[in-house]
Amino acid sequence: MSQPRRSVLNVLKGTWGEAAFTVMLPLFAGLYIWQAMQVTEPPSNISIGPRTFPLLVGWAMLATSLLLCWKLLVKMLGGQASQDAFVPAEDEETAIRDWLAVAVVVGVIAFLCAALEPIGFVVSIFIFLSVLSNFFSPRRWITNTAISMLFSVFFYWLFTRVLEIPLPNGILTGLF
Amino acid sequence: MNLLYALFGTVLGTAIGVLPGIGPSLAISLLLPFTYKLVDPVGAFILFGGIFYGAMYGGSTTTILLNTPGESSSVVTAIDGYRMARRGRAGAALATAAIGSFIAGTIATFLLMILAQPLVEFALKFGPSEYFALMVLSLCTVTAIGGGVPVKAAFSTLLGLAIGTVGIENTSGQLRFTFGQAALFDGIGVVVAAIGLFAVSEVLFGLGNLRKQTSARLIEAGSLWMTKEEWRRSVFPWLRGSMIGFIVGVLPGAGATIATFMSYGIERRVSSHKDEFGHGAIEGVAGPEAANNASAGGALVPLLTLGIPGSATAAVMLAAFQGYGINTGPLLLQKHPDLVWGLIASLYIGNVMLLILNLPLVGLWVKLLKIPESLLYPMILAFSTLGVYSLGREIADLYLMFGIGILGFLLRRYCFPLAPVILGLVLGPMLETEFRRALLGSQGNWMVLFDRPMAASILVLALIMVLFPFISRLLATKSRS
Repeated sequence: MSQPRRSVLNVLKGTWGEAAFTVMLPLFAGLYIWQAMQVTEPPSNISIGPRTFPLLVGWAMLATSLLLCWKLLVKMLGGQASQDAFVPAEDEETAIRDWLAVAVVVGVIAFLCAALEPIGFVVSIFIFLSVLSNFFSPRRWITNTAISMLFSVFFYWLFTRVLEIPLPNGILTGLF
Repeated sequence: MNLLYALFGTVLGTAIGVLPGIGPSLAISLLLPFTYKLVDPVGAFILFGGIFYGAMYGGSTTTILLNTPGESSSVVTAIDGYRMARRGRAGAALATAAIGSFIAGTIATFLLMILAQPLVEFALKFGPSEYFALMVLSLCTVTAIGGGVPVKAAFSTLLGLAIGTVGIENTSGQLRFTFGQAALFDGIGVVVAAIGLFAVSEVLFGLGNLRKQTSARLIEAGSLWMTKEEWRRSVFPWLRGSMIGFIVGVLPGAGATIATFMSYGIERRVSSHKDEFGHGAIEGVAGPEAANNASAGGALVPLLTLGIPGSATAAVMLAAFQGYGINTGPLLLQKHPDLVWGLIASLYIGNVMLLILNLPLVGLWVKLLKIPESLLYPMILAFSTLGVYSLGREIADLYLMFGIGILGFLLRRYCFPLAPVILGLVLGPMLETEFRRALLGSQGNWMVLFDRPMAASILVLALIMVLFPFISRLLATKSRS
């Protein structure tokens, strides 16, 4: 009995997540249209201003998103009409089994964005790579740490010395 | 000596092209100052030919293996190329890309020689209405790319068009959707968006399942070479992609991206393996890769005959011509035949070198997939950071890339196709410019978009493409009942 119950729960979870996302779409479209209305129009003798095209896109986006909401509603209410409107999610492509890992990755990305310029490319990329690789594969910590170090130093050298593209030095300014 | 230049250029181009964010145009720009040191301009252009093809192939390599397109024209390859790699057919995907690029490059170079002048005369007949119609047709191919979910594909396209409106408007110079942020004044870069949507979202999916998956998400390649069946399925897409790529490439500004999307759309329509598209169909790699390379040859037509660069790479080539004090235009062939024919020969030599060099290297590239996923995925993020930061040295670009990556993650989770977002973003500004030019020229009369025969024909074709999935579904339902 528990198996069917679990699968029903999963379907609901997926549908509700999708519902929350789909409801955001017309809101986004509405916000976009409102922002497009804020664009200053040129004098009235010019027939097509910088607002026309975004408004066309915005209204089309609103119509499409409302259509998606309607189809989802029909699907959630068990209607047959839109069975083909939402292709069944292919597990391998769209499933996430470890949300904690996603949160960790997003957190480390936020760290990288915040730290890249203050502490420099070499140190921030080293921390970024070693934290993530050791989180996902703690047993290979020596290899992970060594490769993280090599990667950050090699690409810093390649970009700054060979390709002459400057990268931030940060706290290692005196060293490089 | 010139052969050595071609060899060196191909190796260098491939090595630089595999770095994310660095496509052929940027690779040539980076190396432009060094080539000026070469005394002979013909030698410099032979080097460019090698770098150009090398960088294009290098970009395809990272797209297929790591889902990290270096530029918008590689985005379509990511759809099926990466899926092939994940199914253990990375070698075949890389091989069909290399051979397709070779065939397309050869055909395009030949067509460049014989068709340059008549094609330019045809292209000059294109006004704003025709360009507008052509871009609408390209956008309509997303119904094909969107698979069985045309409404979601349409939303993705519109989202891309909306993202494309951010920044300073081309015609009036008005700021739109920038919220006072200087980083948004120039709009959102295509490479930033492409890396975010594809690479970052893929890494989030990969790492979001890594600790709880039973088998590796990235499968090590099986046989490195193409099977007989894969050869058979690649030949016509190569030829079709070459023709589409060359013709679209001739139109100034249309560029490789439109060509690749059109090629993908057509392959999907004509293939007898429609269900495989989006899951690793070899036609989805062979056609667009051929179109990508052929469009590069096509883009040289307006450059060499009119002095109009048809693509970013052609614009860099134009800068190189000017750097040598050579004016491009209708008289170029008369005044500098050695240079024009040298460039054409260099493209051919670069193409041959690319094939000779890269086919044996397929095995080496595929070894990338042997890196443990716990290291490979973070490395892809680090590569993406490096590529995007080095483009403009703006930390805001990183926030944009990762923000768009999270958006891409959500879109993908709920089965919205990602490629149309990029197409919308690439074509949006051009579409708006042509739309406004047409309407300003007709003093606001919207019929100008439909009353020219060529524009009207293209729009009818676009309408057929939009309606085709609905009509075929309706017919299928009727025949079932």
